[in-house]
Amino acid sequence: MDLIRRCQTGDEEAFAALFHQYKNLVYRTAYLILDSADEAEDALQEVFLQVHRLLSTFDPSKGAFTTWLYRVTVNHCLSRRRKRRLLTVSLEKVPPLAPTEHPSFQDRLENEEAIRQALSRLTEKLRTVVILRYYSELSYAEIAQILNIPVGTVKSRLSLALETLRKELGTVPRTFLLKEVAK
Amino acid sequence: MKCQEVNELLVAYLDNEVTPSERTLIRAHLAGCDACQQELASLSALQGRVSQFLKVRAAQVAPSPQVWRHLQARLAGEARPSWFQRPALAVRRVGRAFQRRERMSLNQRFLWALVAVLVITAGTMAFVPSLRAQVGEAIAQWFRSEVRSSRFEIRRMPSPGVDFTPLHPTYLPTRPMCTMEEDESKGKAGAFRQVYAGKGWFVDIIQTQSPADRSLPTGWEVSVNGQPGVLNTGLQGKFEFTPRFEVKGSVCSSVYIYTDGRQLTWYVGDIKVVMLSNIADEEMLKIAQSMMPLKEDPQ
Repeated sequence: MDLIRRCQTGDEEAFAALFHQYKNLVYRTAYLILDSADEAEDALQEVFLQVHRLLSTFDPSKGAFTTWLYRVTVNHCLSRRRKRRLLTVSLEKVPPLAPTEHPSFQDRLENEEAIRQALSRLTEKLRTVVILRYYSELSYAEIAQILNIPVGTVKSRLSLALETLRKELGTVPRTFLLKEVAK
Repeated sequence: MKCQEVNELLVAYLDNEVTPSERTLIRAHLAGCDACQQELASLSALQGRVSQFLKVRAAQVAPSPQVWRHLQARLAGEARPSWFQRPALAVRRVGRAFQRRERMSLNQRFLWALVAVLVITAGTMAFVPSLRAQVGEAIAQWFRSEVRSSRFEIRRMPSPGVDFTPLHPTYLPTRPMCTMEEDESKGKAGAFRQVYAGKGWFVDIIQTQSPADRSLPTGWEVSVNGQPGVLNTGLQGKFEFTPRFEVKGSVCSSVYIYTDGRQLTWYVGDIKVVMLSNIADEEMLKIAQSMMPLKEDPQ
């Protein structure tokens, strides 16, 4: 907490220490939400610019600094994603699937690419709670605070996300994908 | 508890996010239900695999070593508000003060508002001429002058690190979302660099006066205002810069991956100009042809 207080008084050395302490947390969370290393690096800068501007408004009595930092990070990344648009990819650009292959749920659970695709097909809301729970290991109450939603909504979103992932992984991949590209 | 009720709680059960009474009921149901036990095992395997996947994927990436330097440059830019930004910042501070003072009485709020109005009015009355001059300076310095269709009117301030008057484009295909200029390009004194960028496009221009090597690279020979130049196409790479000015409301990327980049090199007198961009050949040539030395501000 001492570091945060020093940052709030305008101590630039403390801010540098804060950046180096939390840069991986912000960058990696942004990377998982945005699915792009370049965008995550941009987001890292933008998030810490916001932190620099808004740190004076952070009130430790209302919650932990990391929860506040996650909130700034997630809000920035979601706003960035909303500025992208969805574009369908023509069928010929997608590698054809082997017609006889029907891998089992267990096989597909072992398959990195299948999991990556299944996660990328989740809606923004579902993917965000999955990342905050199963990567950041935050409690439902913390996730609720970060996303400004009730704990019950976190519970139902996680349940739906896992059910969706299981369905995705238990079936043959779709023959076309949605690809998100920058406007 | 019925199977459906238990199934709805299994994810929270695995995450240790159920109440003690729910936990007891779920355990009792699981003890006698093979189907729900299988469901639990399946969800547990999926949770574990997703968690492992996310952690491995995140561990494979890290921010670049330059990111702190880039952030510092942007923080330094923010820390020195120009005169014309200061009133806006002051108003924002007053606004925040009001937000924090939720318990102020109506009379106190009115008093604060009155003081703020008086201070702003007196300040504006006293400093209108200098304020206007400062606004002009900021506009000139950051190329924020009027954009009429796609043409710019640029007035540049004297540049202490560069002994020559740099050229500036008077044509750009679309309005840039952000710009940057610096008097030392990549640490090279005497070089002048400017960048204009928008959604999906960038133009990076580096100028040096009387370079030791006056030769042009090999490539497609072109003519820029009657002077020989060389255009190289099909370049691939990553272009990074630190935007110094962003158009309000826009999101300007500082990293561009290009797979069909172009580099145009030519001379204007003894100034060597190298322009790298990911826009079309014709547009690059139009920008090159529009470049001219701009009259420096006599300040």
